Amino acid sequence: MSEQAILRFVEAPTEGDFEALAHQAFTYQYASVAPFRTLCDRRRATPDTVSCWADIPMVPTRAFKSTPLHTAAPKIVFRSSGTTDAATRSEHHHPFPELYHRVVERSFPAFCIPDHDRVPMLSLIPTLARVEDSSLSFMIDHVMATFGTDASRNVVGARGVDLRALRSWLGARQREAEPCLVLATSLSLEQCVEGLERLGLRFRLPPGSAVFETGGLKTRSREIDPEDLRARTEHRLGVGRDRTVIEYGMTELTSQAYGGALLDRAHDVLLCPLWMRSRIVDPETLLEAPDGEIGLIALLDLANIGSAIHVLTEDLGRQVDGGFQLVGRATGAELRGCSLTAQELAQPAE
Amino acid sequence: MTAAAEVAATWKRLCVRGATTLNEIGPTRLLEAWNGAIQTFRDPETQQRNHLMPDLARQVGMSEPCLAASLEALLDGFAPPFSAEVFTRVSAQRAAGPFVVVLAATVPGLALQPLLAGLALGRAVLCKQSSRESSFTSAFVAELSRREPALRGAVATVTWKGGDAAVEEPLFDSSDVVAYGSDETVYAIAALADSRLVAFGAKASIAVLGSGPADLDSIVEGLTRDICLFDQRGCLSVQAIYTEGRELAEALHARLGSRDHGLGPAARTWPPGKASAAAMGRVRHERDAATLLGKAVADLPIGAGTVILDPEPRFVPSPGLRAVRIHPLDSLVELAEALSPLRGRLQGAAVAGTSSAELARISELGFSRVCQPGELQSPPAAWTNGGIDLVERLSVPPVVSG
Repeated sequence: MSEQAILRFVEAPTEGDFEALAHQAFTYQYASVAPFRTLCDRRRATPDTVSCWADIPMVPTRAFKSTPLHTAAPKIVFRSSGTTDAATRSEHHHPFPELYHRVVERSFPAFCIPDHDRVPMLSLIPTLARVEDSSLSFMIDHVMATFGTDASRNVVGARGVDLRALRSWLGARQREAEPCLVLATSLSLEQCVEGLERLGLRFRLPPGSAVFETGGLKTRSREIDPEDLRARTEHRLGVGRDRTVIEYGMTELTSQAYGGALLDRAHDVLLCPLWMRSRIVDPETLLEAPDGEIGLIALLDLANIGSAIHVLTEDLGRQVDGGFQLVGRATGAELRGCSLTAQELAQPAE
Repeated sequence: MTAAAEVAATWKRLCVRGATTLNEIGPTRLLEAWNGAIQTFRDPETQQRNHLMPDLARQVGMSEPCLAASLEALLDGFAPPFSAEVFTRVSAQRAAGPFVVVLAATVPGLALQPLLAGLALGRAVLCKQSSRESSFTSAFVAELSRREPALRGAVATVTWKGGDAAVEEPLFDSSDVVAYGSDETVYAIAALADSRLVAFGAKASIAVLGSGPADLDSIVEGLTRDICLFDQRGCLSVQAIYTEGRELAEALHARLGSRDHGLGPAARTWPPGKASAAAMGRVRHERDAATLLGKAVADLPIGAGTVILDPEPRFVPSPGLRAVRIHPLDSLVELAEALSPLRGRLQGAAVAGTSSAELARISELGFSRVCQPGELQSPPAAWTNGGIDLVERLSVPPVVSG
């Protein structure tokens, strides 16, 4: 199997057979990724015994921290920012960056700019030139180049968000009355809003404008209350949560899930593109959890043909209304002992 | 009455009457009351214990059998003769003010050591219980006061929401504080109490098995106890096991991770508490990542425990839920390097099958408690938790005259 079959499906998903492609991809990865084969053999789940995509063994995202997983020579290596465990970063050795670009082209506009071909974009996410191993920067650079107008601008400098450039861009968009899109992580959006609060500035971005927000539960150093942030964003930019598209992506995946805010769906229900499917699984049995119950989010992303298509995330979610909601993390700072966190122990003491 | 007013009134009472009360009762009667109270909760037949257990189990999320075994193990170390050892260490203590103990909810019974130190030193004690575990200390203090009613003027329990500045600023600004809790809690208290804070936390325990003669069955029995009691939440809970040689590691892996020995039957004797999806998820990832890397993972239900045979020596923190890694070493000399991530954070070591020279080297790595497997969770009352001698730290220096 080559990535071309997946590429064709990404281009025209309604004409393909997800189940058949998933099985072919499984067979390919079983043959070419030795650690994955070990996992499958231990589970007695091989291409000969598995007939349903949901039964393909899941690779825990934790494994991306320990060993390279790739089916072909990697062309780019993405690394997680180490937000939840600075000592150990996930690495995604990606052999097919062009497939990644195509995935972005086929999914981003449908969820984030459904009524436009191009819009002015303000990015609060560092460019790939600044963070050369960030999959998010890789994605956003491509989004800006493909779907942004000439008025698009990245305002992240060496010291974070450039408030002067931010203020200037927002003022210009307010005057032009053309819908625009703000691209941000939860943390950078918080910095943006904080900066505007400090300056005592409020903008009213034109009707039809939206905010793309990612990384809600994976902030670097502090907890952010998403509802509080959205209320403050609405106050400072004039874009409410009904125009905020939550994005759910990770270093270990190629595709992303998006909130359905611009598709007349609940803003916090995450929807997958047609080449990715989600399940919520019971962590003990790995069987699908009943609707509404909290479990681990599992994703089968055909576009992850270069590493592991079926991934078990460390995120907790619940299945709802044709999609899933993100509710927490199954990693990081749990109290142990008298005052012990596993996360802290992973780092040597000073 | 607000929490701040209530705490202030209680604190004032302890300041005014505490030292005098303790002095009037005297060490002999104090020790009698203490030993009696300990025995009350060691005895499975007493009304006080039977009244306490269901609420406490629910609050801390442990099964009653596991909680009972855990508390019994802990209380053993505070019964005679260990309790008397604390009193005999104190000589000519002059009257001194009360101190505050801030308790964490993770492990019940944390209050015992500072309480005993306070009684021995003649210092009144105000225990701040966690709202998530407000049973044990209250019950124990009530039993002490039932046996020695005057103690109501010298020992008290209170609860307030952590971080309440109206309570904490005046209290921590003027008193000695003993704190158990998250680093966040400890840092917040340290900002107010400064050098008067004695903080406990961020420690982990392991087991070390040398290739010398030892009975594997009794080692497995002991390690099972050290892992399972308190549902592996304590700083004396074993998180990793180091063996001298691969053969021993494999034998231990097979035995400890068996459905018929070790953790398998322990899940029936001391059923684990209900685990959250997040906790289960952490263990699931730990197991599946290990499997993918070709490491042997014992075939146990997640709830019963997880045993991973990990040829890489470097210490990896346990995700909890009775999960341990067994690391074979060619020689125990490699132990220091393997434990380097834990530098300064070692607490206990359960040791077997080592020579006396090896035992001495292990002890020098910085453990505050070294004992045989099965005894880790029963530290004696005078144990220097985290290397801190609580009696010494809470002692008031004698007045130098002249």
